[in-house]
Amino acid sequence: MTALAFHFLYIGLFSIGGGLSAISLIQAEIVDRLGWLTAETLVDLMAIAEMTPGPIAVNAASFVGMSLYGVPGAVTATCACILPGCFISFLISRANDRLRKNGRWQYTLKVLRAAVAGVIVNGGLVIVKNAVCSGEPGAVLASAACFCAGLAAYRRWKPSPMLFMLIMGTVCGVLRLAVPVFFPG
Amino acid sequence: MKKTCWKLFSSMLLLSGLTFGGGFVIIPLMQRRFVQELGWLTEEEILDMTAFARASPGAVTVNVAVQVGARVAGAAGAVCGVLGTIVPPLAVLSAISLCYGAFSASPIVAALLYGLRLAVAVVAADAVAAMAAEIARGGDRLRLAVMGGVCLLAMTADISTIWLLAGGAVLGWFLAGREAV
Repeated sequence: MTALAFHFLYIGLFSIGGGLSAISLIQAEIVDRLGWLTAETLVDLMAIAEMTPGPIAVNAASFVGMSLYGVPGAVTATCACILPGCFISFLISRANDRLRKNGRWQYTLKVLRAAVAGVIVNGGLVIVKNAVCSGEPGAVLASAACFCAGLAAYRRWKPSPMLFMLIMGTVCGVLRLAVPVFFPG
Repeated sequence: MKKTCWKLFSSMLLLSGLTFGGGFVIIPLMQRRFVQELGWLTEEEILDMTAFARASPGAVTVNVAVQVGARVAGAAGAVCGVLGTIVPPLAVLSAISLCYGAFSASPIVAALLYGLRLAVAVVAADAVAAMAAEIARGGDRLRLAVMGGVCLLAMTADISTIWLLAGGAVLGWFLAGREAV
């Protein structure tokens, strides 16, 4: 258990640069060195991470911890893996509070925010692309129709996003189960 | 205080539990929840926190949640925000690790996941458009160019987003120096 915590602490500390670097670290540490996961399971895990909520590192930690030591293992591994990032971003946030009055820093932040917005816009486009453009042309067409109808309904009635996601998710899922003709592939 | 923590926890629980596909999608949704619905933060603060979260190791979502929590309710808030963020994936992945075969083979699960992915795409598209419009409305050509450039580069070139953000920060720092002179 201590080893589990230690290894995920290490992964949490050195996975700078997001999901991909976390995966390569997990591959090197957990798969190759320790053999806690097989390479195939890691590939499956990446597929699961794409269709379930949550960051890949947290997902991998929960999965590995659970299969090694059950619930306590899952909680330990997950907490260990997020601890370094939480601590460091908290410190940066504190440092920012100090720097707030500096005019040059303020201007830097202004440009930085635009860059962040650019990254987020790209992230949104990728999500839409992944949700709509998968499977055969017929399936893409059906997904695109669902997407457009959903967007129109969302903009028309402006419901709470949570409620909307639950309702539209269920409706589209049931639609796919009920009339599979429209959703080949 | 207790109420704030609970609201923070339940908001993050829902957001994190429904945000499939991971990554930055959750940021505009958090912005909508914490800025527009609850009025706890400004739009700029969320974007700053995102940049700091990206510069730190680990998952962006968790790192933003800890900052939001610390800002609105101190240490207890930070803990609540992070707990709300990690409980859904923790529970889901633990469950999946127990019955992985049945999960990946079930057509019902596949259909529901498909529907949820589309729904998340709709909400994300709307939120992202609002965010881009906000920057555009500011009327600052430089910021618009930075946003467009970063988005294009992230889409076409194989550059990690952390370098794009670092580039934005360096650009801002130098331009600020020039203006001061």
